[in-house]
Amino acid sequence: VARLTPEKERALGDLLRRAQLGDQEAYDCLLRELAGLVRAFAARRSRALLSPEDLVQDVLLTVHRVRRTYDPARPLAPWFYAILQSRFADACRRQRRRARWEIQTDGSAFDLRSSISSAARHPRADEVAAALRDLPRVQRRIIRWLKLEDLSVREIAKRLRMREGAVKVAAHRGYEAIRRRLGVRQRS
Amino acid sequence: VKTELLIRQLVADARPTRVTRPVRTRLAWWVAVTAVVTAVPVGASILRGKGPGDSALATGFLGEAALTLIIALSAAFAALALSVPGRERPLITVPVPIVSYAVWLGWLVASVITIPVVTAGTWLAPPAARCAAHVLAASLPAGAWLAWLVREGAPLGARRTGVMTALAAGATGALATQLTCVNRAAPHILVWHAVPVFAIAAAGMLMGGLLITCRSRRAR
Repeated sequence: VARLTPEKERALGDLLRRAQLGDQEAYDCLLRELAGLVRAFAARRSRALLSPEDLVQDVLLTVHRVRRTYDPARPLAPWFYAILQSRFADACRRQRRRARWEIQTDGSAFDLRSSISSAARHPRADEVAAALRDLPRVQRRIIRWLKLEDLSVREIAKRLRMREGAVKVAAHRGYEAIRRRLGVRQRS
Repeated sequence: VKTELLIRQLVADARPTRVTRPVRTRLAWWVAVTAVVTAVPVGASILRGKGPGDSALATGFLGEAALTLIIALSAAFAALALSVPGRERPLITVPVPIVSYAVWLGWLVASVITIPVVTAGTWLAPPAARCAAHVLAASLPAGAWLAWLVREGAPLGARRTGVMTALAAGATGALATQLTCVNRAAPHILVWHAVPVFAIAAAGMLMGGLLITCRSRRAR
């Protein structure tokens, strides 16, 4: 922890006392000084913290919210470092929780432009529905049962009194027809 | 939001604030109001002939009353101290009420072990569950008043503060119940007086975030 010198601590305590009385100039000075202290604190823990500026803002917000709890007769350091430690622990906890669910990628792995263009290549749902409607009845039913109702090929064959191989061929032809209609290239 | 912009917004929002009263002042307020609120129904019950009677002077009764009083006072002090950043450091703050509660439980368990025959009837002897309900009812005003005083500060650890607040309230409820309960058997006190205090403290830990903390969503 970046320790405060006694003189600086007294000066900051005085600024906070004046801020409690509504002195905005003193408060501005105090927040800037405290932001510097938090940055110094975060710099020493750069490995644990991905976004030090988030910690700075979190601490400043907390100081603002709890500034009434500071007793001017007491030293400032224990009060301030209790807030700082608490917010740092929260930030680390938040970061761990996030890291558990998010996949970290570097900049090169994620190209926004290419991902947008690939999304644009995907046909819209109404276009797919229209293409499906244009299929022959048997092919349409097979694809609907396979893709929307999760029936197996065997179940569909039984329902339509067809051989399983024939169901597969009909489904394949249906997919081809939909691809042609939507102008989607077949994956090699 | 850029930090510079945030500072400007906070400075613009800086109005004069009322400084939080010291821990001792708030504790004195809690003791005074809780004593009055608890003493009235307890006194009325005693006047109606309920209570421990002659056994009130027994060492066990006085020792138990002293322990629950220590738990209530030390837990209330801890809750109020935890509501001021930087005041929670002294080691005495949190362990005293927990150790006192453990001593009370240990004492009761030791007393139960010395009983030669313990049957289901021993545990369920009247007034049984009515005592647990009384502990809860007596703890509610004490807990609500303490939570109000705690919220005057700004607790950073909601769970710890919640446990201490609820433990103080539960111990107050147990003390009030003890003064009006006719059953002095250790199994009864263990199950229907001491365990409800634990349950109340556990509930305080779970609900501490909701009731005690005054952190804004943004600050979280």
